Amino acid sequence: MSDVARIFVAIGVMAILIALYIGSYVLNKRTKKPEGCKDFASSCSGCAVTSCSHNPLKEE
Amino acid sequence: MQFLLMGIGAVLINNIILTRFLGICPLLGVSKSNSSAFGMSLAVIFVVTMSAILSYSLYMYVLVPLKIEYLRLVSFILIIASFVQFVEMFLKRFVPALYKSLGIYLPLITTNCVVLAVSLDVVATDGGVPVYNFLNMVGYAFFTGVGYAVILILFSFIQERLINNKNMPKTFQGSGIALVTIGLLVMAFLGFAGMI
Repeated sequence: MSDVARIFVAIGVMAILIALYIGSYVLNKRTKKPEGCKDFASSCSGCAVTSCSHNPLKEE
Repeated sequence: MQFLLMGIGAVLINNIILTRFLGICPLLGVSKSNSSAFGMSLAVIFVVTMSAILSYSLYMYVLVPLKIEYLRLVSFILIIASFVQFVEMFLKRFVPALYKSLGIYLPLITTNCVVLAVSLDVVATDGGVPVYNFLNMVGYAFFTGVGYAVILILFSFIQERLINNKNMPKTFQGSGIALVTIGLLVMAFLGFAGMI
């Protein structure tokens, strides 16, 4: 396989993996949470990951 | 016997937290209560093992034959993130009780660098020859997760006492004393060096 072809193969593999991630993210978002699991965020006491959407600091 | 030695090595001697200081952020954050530490431990063992299997398979059967091994880092990140999303979706749909007990810890694992480190470790080569075969790779990933869980649960008991200590000097409170304690744990576990 030539170098140019290998670059296109690499781009193709990355595109498949990115599509896999986007697909899994969208499917997960669309799946409804079971009863009693709506308020997970309020049960989080917070860790050092302040960028996490569950972190209480994020809401302040 | 080989797996027993591998387990002792990964848990006591070459524990990934104590020897490489990986996964410290979740260790400090989730160890504030025993129940949180236990939930996180279960989730880490499962995700580390499964993502190592997926990463190993992707590397050996896709990246190496196509000679694009240099993509391993970014492809492993995507595989781990996708896998965690799928697991969360599956648990929401079919095992709500487990989803409820794991709670928010499952999505948090995506940020745990132990998962990525193990995935990169299992595809390591020595002179072009893979260090691990499939079975050894599964054993290594599982026992590394168990090692992480042991330290996390152990540290959660210590953390509860540290948090409730009213005589703690202000400068040591919080992460300060936690990191000092981890340092002491590292020295304690150094006693196991040379055991195997």
